[in-house]
Amino acid sequence: MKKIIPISIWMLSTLFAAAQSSDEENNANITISHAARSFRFERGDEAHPVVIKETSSRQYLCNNYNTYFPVVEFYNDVEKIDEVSILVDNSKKHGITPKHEYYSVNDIFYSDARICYFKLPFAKKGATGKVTFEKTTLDPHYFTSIYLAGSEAVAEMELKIFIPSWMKAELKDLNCEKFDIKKNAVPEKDGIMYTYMVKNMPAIPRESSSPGITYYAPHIMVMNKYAEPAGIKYTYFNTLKDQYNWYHKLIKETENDPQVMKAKAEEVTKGLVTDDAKVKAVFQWVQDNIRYIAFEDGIAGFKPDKAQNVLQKKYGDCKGMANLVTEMLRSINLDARRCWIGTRHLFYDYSTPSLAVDNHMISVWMNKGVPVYLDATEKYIGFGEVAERIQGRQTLIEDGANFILNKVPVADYQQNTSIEQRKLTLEGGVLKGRIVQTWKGENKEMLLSGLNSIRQDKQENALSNYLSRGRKDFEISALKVVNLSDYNKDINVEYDILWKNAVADFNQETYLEVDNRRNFDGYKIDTSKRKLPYWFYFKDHVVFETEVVLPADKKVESLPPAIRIQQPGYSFTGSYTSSGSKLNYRCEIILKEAQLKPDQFSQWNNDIEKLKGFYNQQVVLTKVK
Amino acid sequence: MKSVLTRIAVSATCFLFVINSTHGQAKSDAEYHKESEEIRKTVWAWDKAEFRVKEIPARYAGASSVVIARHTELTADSKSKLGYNGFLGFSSNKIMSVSEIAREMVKVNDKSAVEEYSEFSFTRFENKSGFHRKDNSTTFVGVRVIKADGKVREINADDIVFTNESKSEKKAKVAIPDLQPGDIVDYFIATNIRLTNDFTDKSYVVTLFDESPVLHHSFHGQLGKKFAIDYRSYNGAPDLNVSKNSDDDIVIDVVKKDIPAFETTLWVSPALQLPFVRMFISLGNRGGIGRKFAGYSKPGEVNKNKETDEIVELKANNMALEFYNSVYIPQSIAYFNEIIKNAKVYAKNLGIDFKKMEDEEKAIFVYYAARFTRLLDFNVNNMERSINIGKQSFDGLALFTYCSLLAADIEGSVLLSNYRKGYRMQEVMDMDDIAMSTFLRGTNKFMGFSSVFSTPFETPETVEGVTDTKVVNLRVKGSVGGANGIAKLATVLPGIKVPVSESGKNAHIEQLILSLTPGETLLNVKRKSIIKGNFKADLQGRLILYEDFYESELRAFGESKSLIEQLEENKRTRKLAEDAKNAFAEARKKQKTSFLDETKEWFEQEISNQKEMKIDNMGVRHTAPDFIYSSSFDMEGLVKKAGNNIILEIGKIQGTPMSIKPEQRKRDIDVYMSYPRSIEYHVKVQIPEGYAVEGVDGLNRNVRNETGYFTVQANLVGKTVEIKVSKHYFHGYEPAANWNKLVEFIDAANEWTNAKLLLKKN
Repeated sequence: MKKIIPISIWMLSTLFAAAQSSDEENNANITISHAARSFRFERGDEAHPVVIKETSSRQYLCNNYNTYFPVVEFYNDVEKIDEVSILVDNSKKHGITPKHEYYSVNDIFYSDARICYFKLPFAKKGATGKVTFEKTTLDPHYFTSIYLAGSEAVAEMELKIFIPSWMKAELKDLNCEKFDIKKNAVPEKDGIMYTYMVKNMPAIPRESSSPGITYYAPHIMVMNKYAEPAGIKYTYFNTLKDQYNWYHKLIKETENDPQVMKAKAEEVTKGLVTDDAKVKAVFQWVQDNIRYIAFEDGIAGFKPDKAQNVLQKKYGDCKGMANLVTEMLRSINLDARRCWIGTRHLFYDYSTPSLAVDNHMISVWMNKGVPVYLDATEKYIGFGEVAERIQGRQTLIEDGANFILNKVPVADYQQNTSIEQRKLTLEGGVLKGRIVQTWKGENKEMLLSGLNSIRQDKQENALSNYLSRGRKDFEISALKVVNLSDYNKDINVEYDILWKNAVADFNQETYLEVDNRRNFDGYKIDTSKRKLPYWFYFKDHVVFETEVVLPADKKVESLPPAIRIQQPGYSFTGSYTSSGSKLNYRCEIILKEAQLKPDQFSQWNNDIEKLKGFYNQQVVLTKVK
Repeated sequence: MKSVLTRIAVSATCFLFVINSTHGQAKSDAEYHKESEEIRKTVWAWDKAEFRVKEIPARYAGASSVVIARHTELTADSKSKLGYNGFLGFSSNKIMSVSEIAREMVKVNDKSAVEEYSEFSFTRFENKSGFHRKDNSTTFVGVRVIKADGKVREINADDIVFTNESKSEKKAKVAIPDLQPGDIVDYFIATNIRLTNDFTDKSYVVTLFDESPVLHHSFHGQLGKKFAIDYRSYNGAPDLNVSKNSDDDIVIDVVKKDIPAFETTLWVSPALQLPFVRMFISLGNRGGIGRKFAGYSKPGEVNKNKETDEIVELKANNMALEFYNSVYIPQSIAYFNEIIKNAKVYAKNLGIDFKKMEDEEKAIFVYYAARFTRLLDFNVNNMERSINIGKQSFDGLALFTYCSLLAADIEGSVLLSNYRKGYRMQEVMDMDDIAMSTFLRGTNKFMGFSSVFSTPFETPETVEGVTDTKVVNLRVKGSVGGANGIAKLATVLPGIKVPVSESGKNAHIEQLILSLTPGETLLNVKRKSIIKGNFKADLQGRLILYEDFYESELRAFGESKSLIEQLEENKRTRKLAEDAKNAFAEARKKQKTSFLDETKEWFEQEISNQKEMKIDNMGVRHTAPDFIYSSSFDMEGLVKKAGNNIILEIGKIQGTPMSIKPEQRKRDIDVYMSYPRSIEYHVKVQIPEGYAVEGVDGLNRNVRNETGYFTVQANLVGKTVEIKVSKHYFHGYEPAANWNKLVEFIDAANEWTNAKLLLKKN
C-alpha cells in the first residue's frame, strides 16, 4: 500500500538527524527561528476540481558557526512543487539551484516519491536563510495531515488553514497537548480560517525500535469529507463507507481472471479435501512462490495488480499478494476477502476515515464466519499465526457493497516460543551431549528469513555459526535439521556438542558455566538518549533448559540462587537444582507485551541488571572424598 | 541485483564515465523500443553453443548460482567529421562509436540467488555536459527466464519503471518476473556510446574469477583501425588473442572455461593472485604532447605487455609537468614560498638560525611547517572541513612534499614503485599503477603524508618492502621551452629498496590496571593505550581534537597567540572568532562520545562511568611518535561470582580476537596481510583484600614460530597479578606454506579468551 505518512517530515529526520540528546538539541547549530505555513482549499479544473495550495516558508538561523545545511522537500505525482524561493541573508543572489530526483527508499522497488534538495550556506553565526516552497496537492484524498514539528527545532510558527464554505473538512489535532500550541478559528467571508500559533517546538526525535511518528509527533489530521466547489458535489471520505467505496471501486476495476485463478488453485489444492487444508495450501503456495516487491506509485499505491499478472510475474506488493490469495481461494468456492489494515506502525484506526489510516493489505478466509487472517508478505509465518505488526489492529474487510470492521486477534507470547534443551555430561573437563532447539511463530520466521538470505552452499556453515555464536570451543557435530522447510510446523534442529571451556578447574574445585546464551542480557535501555517507547519485534518466549550429569568424583558444592522477576509486561525466571549426580538449569524469559513505555525503563533496567547478575554466577563443584 | 551489476560492470561500463558532452536528444520511446527489439533479436540469436547449455555439472549442484555462460562483445569504430569548435572555428572532430553487449546466463539454485537476480537497475540514456559536442550513451536490456521445463519467458519491456527521467538521463529498474529456484536467467546489457575527440585510455578488465562457478567466459572485441590497444594477462589468466583482419581492424578474443568459485576474501591481493585480463583501449592519436604526457597511442598500435620502462617514463614526464606547474608558475611559487617564509618565522621564534640548520634538521622543520601551513590551515569559511581534516587520508602528497623541501633548497627524490599489494612493477600498465613516495636524496628516509598526523621518516605502508623501484629527481633549470624541455626536468635513476617495518613498530599496547569490589561484577579499569606506527592515524582521527592539535603546533613553533586570538586580531576573520569558539566547543563535547565509542569497540563489553579521558601524547611529532591516550571506566562481562569466590575471565580482555573460520582453514594461496604488527596487553590485576588468587600459572602461553607469536607471561607480585599478553605478526606477507603456522598462534590467542583466574575468599 502507498504510505500516506508524512514522508517529507519523516524522511527528513531519517536523512539528516541522528538521535540527539536534549543537550545537543538545545545547542543545535541550525534552527528554524520562524516558520509560516498556509494551506488553502481552492477550486481547480475539471480534472482536479479541488486542489490544496500550500505556501510554506522557513526562516533558518545559524546559532553557533558557519556551515552548509541540507534542505530537502518531498513531493510526488499528486503533490507538486510549483515554486522554490531561497533567500540567503535576505539576498536572492546565492547561486543555489535546487535539484530534483526520484527518492529511492530501501525495500521499495518503485515509488513516485521525489525530492527537491539543495544546501543552504550560512556564512557565520547569526546568518539566516529563508526557504519558501509553494506546492499544490491535486486531490484532497491525498491531503491527509499537516505536521507541526520536523527534524529541526522551531522557535515559532504560524500555520493557517483556510477551509472555504464549499468544502467540508474536519481537523483533528493529535499529540498537541504537551506543546505550546494555540489554535483559533475565525470565520471569514467565504469560509473559516484556522490558525495555529506554535512556540518552541522541539525537533522530532528519531529512535530505533520505536513507534511510528503518528504516535508522538504533533500533527493535524485533515479529514476531507466532501466539496461543492461549483454546484457539483464531490464526496471524499465523509464516512468510512465512502473510504470503503473508494477502495472497493479500485478492486472492481481490477480485472482478475477467475479461470486462471481456478486452474492454479485446483493445481495447488489437488487431492486436498478439507477447506482448512486447501486454504493452508494456497496460502503457503503464495508465500513460497510470490516475491514481495513494494510499489508506491500514485493510484497504483492503492489498486492491486491483477491476480493473473502477479501469478505470471511471481512478484507483487502486499495488495497484489492479498488479491492473489483472495482470488485463488474464491475460485475454489472458499469465502476469502481482501482486508485493508494499518499496521501497528500507525496510531490511527478507521474511526477517522482517511488514506492515512492504513498502509497494508492482507486476505482473510471467513471460516464459517470466523475470520482467519492470511498475510502472505510474512514469508515464513505459519498458517493461523499472526505477526505482531497486525495483531490487534482494526481491519476493513470487504463485504460486497458493504464492509465489515473487525480486529485481528492478539496472539500471546507462546505463539513465538523458542526452546533450547540440552542433555550434557561432564567428562574430562568438558561438557558434551546433545542439544535440541525448536522455534515457533515469529522466532521461527526470523530464523528462516536469515537462513534463506544466505547462499545454499553456505547455509549449513551459517547455521552452525549461529548456533555456536561463532565460538570455536563450542564444537557442533551431527547437525540434524529436523524441519527447516515446513513453516506450518515448528522448526527444529538437533546436534551434538563438545563444549570445551564451560568448566574451569582450580585445585579441588570446579567452576561450571551452564548458560552461554544469556538471553536478553544486552537489552539495557540507554535512558540518557531514549525518549520514545521501546518496541520489540514481537512478544517473546525463550526457554533454555540444561541437564548436566556429573562424574562420580564430583558433587555440587554451591548453586547460584534463583531469579524470579514478575512484572506486568514481562517475567524472567531462572533456577538451578541438583539431585544425585544430576544438575538441572532452567531459564525462561517471557515478554507478554511487545513494548516498554518510558516510565517502565527504570524498572526494566533494574531487572536486566538482576538477570545479568544471575547469569554472572557459576556452579561450584568439589571432589567427592 | 547488486552483484550482477558489479560483475558485469567490470567489463561493460568502462566507457560511460568519460562521456563529457551535452545536448544529445533522448530517443523517443517508439524509437527506443524498436531499436531495443532489434538488439534483443540479435543477441538472443547469437550462434554460441555455450548459451545453449542448460545442464550444469553435478559438481556444481550445491552452488547457489552457476554462471553457464558470460560473454562480452565490444565493437568500436570512428570517423572524422567537420565541426564548429567555437573560437577555434571549424575543425575536424574524431567521432567514436562504441557498442558493448555484456550477456550472462545464470542458473539460480536457491532463494538467495533468486533474490540477487530478481531486480536490477540500469541507465537507459545518459547525456553529459560539454560545449560543442553531442556525446551520449543509450543502454538496452534484455532479460529472459528459462524454466526447468525448457520454456523461455522474455521480460516485457512494460515492466521497466523509470527511477529518473530527465533530458540528460533516464534511469530504469526492472523486476524479473517468474523467477524461481531452478530457473536460468539469461540477460544482457547493451550500451551504445558516442564520444568526440576522446583519446584517453579506457580501462577494460575481463575478470576470470567469481564467487559462483563459471562454465564459459569469453570476450570478443573488434576495434576499427584507428584504435589502439595495450593488454596484459595476470596471474595465470589465458593470453588475449589479438590479430588484425583484412580491414586492419583489431580483433580481440579470450576464452576461459570451467572456472570454479573463488570464495576466500581473507588476506587476498587480487592484483597479485587472481586471474584477469587487463586492456587499455583508446582512439589512436598521431602525435603531439598527448603521447609524451598522456600516453596516447598511435592508430592501430597493439601493445602486449608494454615495458615497465615506458610507463615509468610517462610517469616521470607527468611528474615533470606537474613539477613545472608548481615551480615555474608565479602563483605556485608563492604557495611554496609562503611555507618557507613561515618556517623561518617559526625558527626565529624558537631561536633557531634557519639558514644554519643541517639539511635533515631543516627538512624536518620544513615538513612540519608545510603540514601546519597547508594541511592544518584553519579555513574560517568552512570550519567543519578544517575540524574534520583528521579523518581524511592522503596518498602521500609526494610532489607537494618534494616542492616544499625544494623551496628550502633541500634535495629530495621521488621513489617510483609498485604498491605492495598492487600490480607487480613488471606488470604495471598505467601511471596510476605506480606509487610515488618522496624521500631525502641519498637516504631511505621518507617524507610524505598519509594523514595530517604523519611525521617525517615514516616509511609508507603501501610500499613497505618493495624492491623493484626507480628514482626520479626533479630539478629547476632556468627557462624551459616546450614539451621536451619540461620532460627533461625529470631524471629517472635506479631505485632503492624500501625497508620493512617490524611488528613492534606497528603496535597497539594496552596498559591496564584492573580492580574489583567483592560482591560486584563490574571491573574498574585504568587504561593507557599506546599506539605506534600504522595503527595510529585512524585512532588519532577519531580522538584528537583539531583545536588541540593546532594549538600544540602553535606552541611547537613558538607562537604565543592561540588560534582564537589570531582570529580575533585579524580584521578579515574577527567576526568569525565566535563561530570558531562554538564549533570547537561542539567538537569537544563530541570527543567524549568518541572516547566511549572507541573503548566499547576495542573491548567489546559494556562500558560505564568513563572519566579522566585525556590525550597524553598526540604522536604527531617524530620526537614523540607514539599516540597515547588514557581514561578510567567500569567494564562488564569479565567478572563472575562462584559461591563466595570470584572468577575473573581475564582472557576476555582481548575482546574477540581475529579468528580463522572453518572454511578458511585450508589454504593454498599466499597470504597478503596489512603489515608487520602487534597487539599487547600489559595487565595488572589487583587482588581484593581478603582474597587469594589461583590459576596464575595456567595463564602462561608460548606459541612461537617464524610467522609470529602469541605469548602470555603471568606472575604474582605481592597482591598483584602481572600479565603480559603479546601477539605479533612478523610479516605483512606469508607464503601459503606458512599458513598453518600463522593459524597456530592466531588459534592460541583465540583459545586464550577462555583464560580465567580464581579469586578465592580466604
